[in-house]
Amino acid sequence: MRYLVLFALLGCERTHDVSIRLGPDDQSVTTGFQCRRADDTFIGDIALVGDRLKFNVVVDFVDLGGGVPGCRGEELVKTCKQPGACTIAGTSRFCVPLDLPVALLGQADQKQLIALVHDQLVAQGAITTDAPNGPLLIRAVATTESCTAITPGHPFALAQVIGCAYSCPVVLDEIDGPIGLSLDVLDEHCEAQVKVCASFPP
Amino acid sequence: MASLAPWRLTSGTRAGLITLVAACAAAPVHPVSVAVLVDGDRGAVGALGPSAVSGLELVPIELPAPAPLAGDDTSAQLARARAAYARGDHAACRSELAKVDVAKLLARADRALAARALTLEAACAYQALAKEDARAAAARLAGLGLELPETSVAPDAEQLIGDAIVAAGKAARSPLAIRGAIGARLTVDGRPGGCAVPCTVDLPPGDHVIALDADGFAPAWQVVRTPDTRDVALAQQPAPRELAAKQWRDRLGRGLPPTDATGVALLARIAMVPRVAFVHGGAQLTGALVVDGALRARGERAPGESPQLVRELAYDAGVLRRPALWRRPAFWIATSAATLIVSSVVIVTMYQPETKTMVHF
Repeated sequence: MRYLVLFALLGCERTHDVSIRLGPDDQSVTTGFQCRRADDTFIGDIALVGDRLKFNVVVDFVDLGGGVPGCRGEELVKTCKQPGACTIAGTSRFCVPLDLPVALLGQADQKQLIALVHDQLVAQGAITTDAPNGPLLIRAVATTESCTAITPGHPFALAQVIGCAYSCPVVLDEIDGPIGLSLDVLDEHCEAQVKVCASFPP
Repeated sequence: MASLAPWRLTSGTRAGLITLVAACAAAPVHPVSVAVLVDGDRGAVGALGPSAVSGLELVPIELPAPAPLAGDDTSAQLARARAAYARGDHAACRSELAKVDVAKLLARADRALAARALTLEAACAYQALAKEDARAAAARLAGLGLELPETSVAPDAEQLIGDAIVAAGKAARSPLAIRGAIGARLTVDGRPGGCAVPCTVDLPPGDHVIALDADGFAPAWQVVRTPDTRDVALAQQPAPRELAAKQWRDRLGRGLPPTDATGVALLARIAMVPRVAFVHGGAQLTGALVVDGALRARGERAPGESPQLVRELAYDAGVLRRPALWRRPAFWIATSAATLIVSSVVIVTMYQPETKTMVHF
């Protein structure tokens, strides 16, 4: 009887389900993927292939080394100031190619665009079925680099990065539900912030 | 060169080893004999065989049957004396009455027969012209406080007796101190003495029958003459087994507890062994264990649990040594239960099941 209870307890396993949104809600895309240069051109134009936009989305779990800083950039930088304090977790990186019609990009209503992006992202399957347990942040980088080049430890080629967003620090085993990504900017001219985001952690 | 084989031991070592082995060997345990007296609802008591309790040899005992009443032909003697008196054969009357032990009749509180015997004795003596004997019998009847029975005797004899009763009523009384088994019930001339010994009673002059009766003792009586005798001590012998059983039964009949101090002493006499367990079957089993005539343990259990009851009594009385705590099954049951509960609480409060978090778009 005693062993049965122990076995039953040991056999228990909690499963959490966390879904990532590429914006503050499921109706919009974060500014981090819509940044413009100083001359007001879309930094994603380097991904144009004819009338389609082709790029890859790379999702990383950035291990914050046990610390749980605030959400602001300055707080994150302070936590990860020392080289190696924060690292990209895992031995492989999730990378999924997207192929979007340019026509959808300029529309005020982003529902159709989001649905298309979502379908292509979901088609790749789950990012992970057992996320790291510890304080981390989730970062998504849009780049024209090929997925084969995106290996663990490989720094992004910043010239090819066309978007970036991240979540607030979170312990994934303690939450269940959607988590939104964003970039901490005040307007769309955020090319520099995108590159800083993609090159994080130092 | 002489050498000892390695296995050869010196005599001292051998003796030491033998002593060690003997000391470590389990000592033989002989069961302790305990007499068991079952009373009340035997169905509630259940089976209580000789080896029902480990370490004890239970020997069932029964209450001895009451002794048959001894034959007594006093009534017949009085009838024959009465018949002789009626036909005028006063010698035969006196001869029959001489066989009657009036003191014995009074010792067993049979005052009516004693009164009849003394009345006839006075009447027969009076008619036989033995006036002094007649007066003595009348005086004895009066001194004993007996009443004139309805037996019809000659008016002269009746007058004689009446005068004697009046005279006895006027006589000064004298104190008589009586000693015996403490608390024994006293009867004087077949009447309750009104006190338990030791005590003092005031009696008219003459012969008196002093009788004592106490549970655990055989009855004792003695004839004393007042005022010549001022105090009397009656030695009472311990009651034989049959009498003890009768007294114990009578006490139960009077609603007294079976195992109070007196009841226990009676049980010890009934059992005739040093250790006796008494088990009473009822809505609850009650029991007591008497060792050397003293109550050592008392207890109660649910019906059918008589072996457990006797075992607990034996433990409480020190007849059996209570096993060490760790040798009792209840200890291990309680310990296991406590361990299980504590383990469960610790596991429930401390255990955190593995969490797997799936992340997807």
